[in-house]
Amino acid sequence: MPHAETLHQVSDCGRVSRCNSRILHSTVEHFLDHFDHVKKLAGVEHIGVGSDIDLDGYDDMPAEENKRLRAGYKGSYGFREKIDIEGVDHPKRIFDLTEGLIRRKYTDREIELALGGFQTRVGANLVCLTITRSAMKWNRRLCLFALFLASAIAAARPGQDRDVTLTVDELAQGKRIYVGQCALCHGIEGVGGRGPALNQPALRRAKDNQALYNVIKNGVAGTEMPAAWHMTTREVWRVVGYIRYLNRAEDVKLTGDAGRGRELYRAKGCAGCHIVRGEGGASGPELTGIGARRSAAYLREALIEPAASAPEGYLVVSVITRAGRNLRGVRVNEDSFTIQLRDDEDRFHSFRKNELRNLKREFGVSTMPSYKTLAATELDDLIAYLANLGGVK
Amino acid sequence: MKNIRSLFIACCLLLSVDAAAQVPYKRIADAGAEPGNWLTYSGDYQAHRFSRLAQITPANIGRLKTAWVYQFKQLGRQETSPVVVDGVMYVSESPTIVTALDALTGRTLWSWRRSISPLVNTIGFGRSNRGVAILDDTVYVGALDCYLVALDAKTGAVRWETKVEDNATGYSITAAPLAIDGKIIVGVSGGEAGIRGFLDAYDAKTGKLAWRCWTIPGPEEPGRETWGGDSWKTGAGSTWLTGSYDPELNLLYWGTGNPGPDWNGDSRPGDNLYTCSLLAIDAATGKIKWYFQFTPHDVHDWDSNQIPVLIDANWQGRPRKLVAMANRNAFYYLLDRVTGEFLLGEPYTKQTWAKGLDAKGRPIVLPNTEPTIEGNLVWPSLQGATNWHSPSYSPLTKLFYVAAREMGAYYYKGEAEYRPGTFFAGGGERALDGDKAWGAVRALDVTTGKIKWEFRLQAPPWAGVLATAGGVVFGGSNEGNFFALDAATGKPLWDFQTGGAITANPISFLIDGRQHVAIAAGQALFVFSLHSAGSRQ
Repeated sequence: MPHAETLHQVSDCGRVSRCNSRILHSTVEHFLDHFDHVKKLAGVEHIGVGSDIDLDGYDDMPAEENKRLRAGYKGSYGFREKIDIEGVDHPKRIFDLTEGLIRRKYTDREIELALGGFQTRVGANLVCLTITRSAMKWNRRLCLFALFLASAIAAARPGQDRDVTLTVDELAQGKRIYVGQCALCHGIEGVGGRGPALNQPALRRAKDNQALYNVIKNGVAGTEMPAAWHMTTREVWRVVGYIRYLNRAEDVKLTGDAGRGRELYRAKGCAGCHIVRGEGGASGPELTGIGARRSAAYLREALIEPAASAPEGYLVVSVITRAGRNLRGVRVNEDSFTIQLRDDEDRFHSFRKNELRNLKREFGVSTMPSYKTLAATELDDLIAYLANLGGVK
Repeated sequence: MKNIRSLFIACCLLLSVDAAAQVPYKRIADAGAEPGNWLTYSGDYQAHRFSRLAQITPANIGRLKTAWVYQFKQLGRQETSPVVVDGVMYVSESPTIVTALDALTGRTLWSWRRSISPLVNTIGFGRSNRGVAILDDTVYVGALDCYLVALDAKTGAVRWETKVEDNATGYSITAAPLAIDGKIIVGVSGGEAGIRGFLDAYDAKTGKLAWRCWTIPGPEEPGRETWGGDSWKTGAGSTWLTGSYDPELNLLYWGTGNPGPDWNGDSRPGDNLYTCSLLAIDAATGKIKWYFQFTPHDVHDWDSNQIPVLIDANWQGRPRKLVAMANRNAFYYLLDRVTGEFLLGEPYTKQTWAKGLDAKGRPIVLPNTEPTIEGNLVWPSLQGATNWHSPSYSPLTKLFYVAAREMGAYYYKGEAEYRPGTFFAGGGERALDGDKAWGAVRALDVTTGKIKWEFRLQAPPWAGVLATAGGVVFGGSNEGNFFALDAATGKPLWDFQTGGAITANPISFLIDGRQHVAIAAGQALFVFSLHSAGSRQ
């Protein structure tokens, strides 16, 4: 550890001093002790962390490579048997450091200063003194690092979230954007539809405001939720604010009994066409997790009037071949020259379009029967079962 | 007899390989005289993307089979259009790789790769490279980090590299450079980052800047009055696709991109010259000879970076030098390429934003077609009625072939705040997709713009077309179909499923005495040729 006096000098003149851990077996806690020490003597703003450690550290390198590495730096380092610090020898070490600092009661600002602020300042000075390309590049990297750090802090610190209190005007703008760009799937006032309802206190994919921001900005991979790449940060936050405003609504209570709904699901033959957790037929869309993707209102409509909500990827197509053969099925794929169908017995058929006498795309048609004949309570039960698939509370 | 002819061709090839890669300017200017090669991005300076090779015809195209397939070296967006010279194919790959291939077998002769940082700015477009230029014994490529690099055509060794502009502020290069007499012409991307656009000319030998032509007028320059306040400084007007060239007039024809910010025009009142325009630029000085603005004060991101096709044809009874462009804004335009005079403008896809064009070609914009916060449904979508993928012109059929996109979009208006090197667009879109959108290859009568025939495509395409003297038009689809249509009727003749989306332009060349056709699809380059019965392939 550097001498206390040296550190006081550092704090006065801004020079850099290195603290390299020399304990035989050191852990992330030893590493953090250095932070505490420097913070006490010189101030947290004088801490800086180097990042010239390989992603996975050095100790796990093949013996030959390790030997070469040690030989290469023989003149400048006195290597211990073990080089890496336990807990700081993996690609996500900055998260662990952040967590450790939170544990030691560092504030967000202090963490920012300790894990990046110092270099950012030094980098900025460099840019002021010598405007070189590499310095500019370095500074940009540091800015990116600072951004990364902010997300690391957000990820590691539990129970802390960004506040989104909006003015009336900002809220109104959030609403206008929401109505134009979100309501198509999530419904006016967030009642849900093709997308999950948002007028509830807890959102499955957005535990806090930052997470909601991320969902809007980046979309949700593997679902129909697109990324709002075109919105500014401020606009996204206003939408977050508006959605949180919608959240004030009481959770919509499902009146049905999910247990009875499950029995109905079996009895009415739903499993013949839909897969839930690996079981069932494949001619209709998989329903595992459907409760997270569709609102109860949407599920009700789909049961009563299936054609009104026929999902994309289940277009019914009927064809007549030149030989006069008729076939009707769900479109599996199509290009400009061919079409692939799956019939009601789940068999695939492929046709070249120029070999068909007739090809009819039945938009607005579903092969699913309507369940409007169910008793009202049965419908409620079935909806309760489906809405619970996917972990909605 | 056949053997003697093969021998003769082989000798010719050997001779030409011997003097290889010497591609003086004259050869490119005379590209039509050597249809066996593909010497520049669009095949010739007139940007016809037309092959004078006539071996492949509607009658024999059933025998078209893969000759070889080349797999790209790195996963990415492959939008390349290769150049072929004397048995060697030069192909660019994503992000910035250039590979020389043996055009007979597809085997690599050399490959050069520029180290591209993962932090490189590509704001508003993919990390692609659309092709190279060749001049004398040097291959030229624009790099994603906005450098122009000259490579030795025999080895791929770097001869020089020049920084075109600072990538940190959003400038980048994806377009193939254009090589003219002693100069390399380079356009830049960055229209969604609030750059100030320009077209550059570099000395082919040294890489020194010969001239820069700003697409956005500066203070005291004519056109500056079409920008409110300081908005010209971030006015965009990028030059991100390869233009065409008339050696006789010594004029370059180059399209310019959208004004910045894209979808929110509040901060830039005025026509915003020279965005969404065609510029005729003096190749000697870089001065703008004339301009024609297709979409004044654009708010839909309808860049006019499509290919300007130079056509000599009769117009109202007398021969005239023309330039045709199927514009992203859904109109097909015909201009006099000497004067820039507007001659004709006809829609070639569905459009809902203009009542028509006035006598000078200025659109009569319909009310309530601007982007709004809630979204406003307008045709075409921001990707346009066509985009960077190339059209083709056949001097034999006198038809202009274009891969057209039938797609509408909800346009959103949002905030725009300029910070260097970040997205500066002020809105966005949600395009109608699935079965609500489709595409077509259309054949337009050059001098009337009327649609002669169309071949319907499943989705709005991103692949260019190639017409050939054999009477065939090649095209590609998002679903991976590479196909051939009858150039006269549009009737489908042949198709092949490549297994990956086609977002590239076809080319044709001669090797081993046989006509080949090449297209990038997915992560590979496919090359096809006619197979005779009983041949080794």
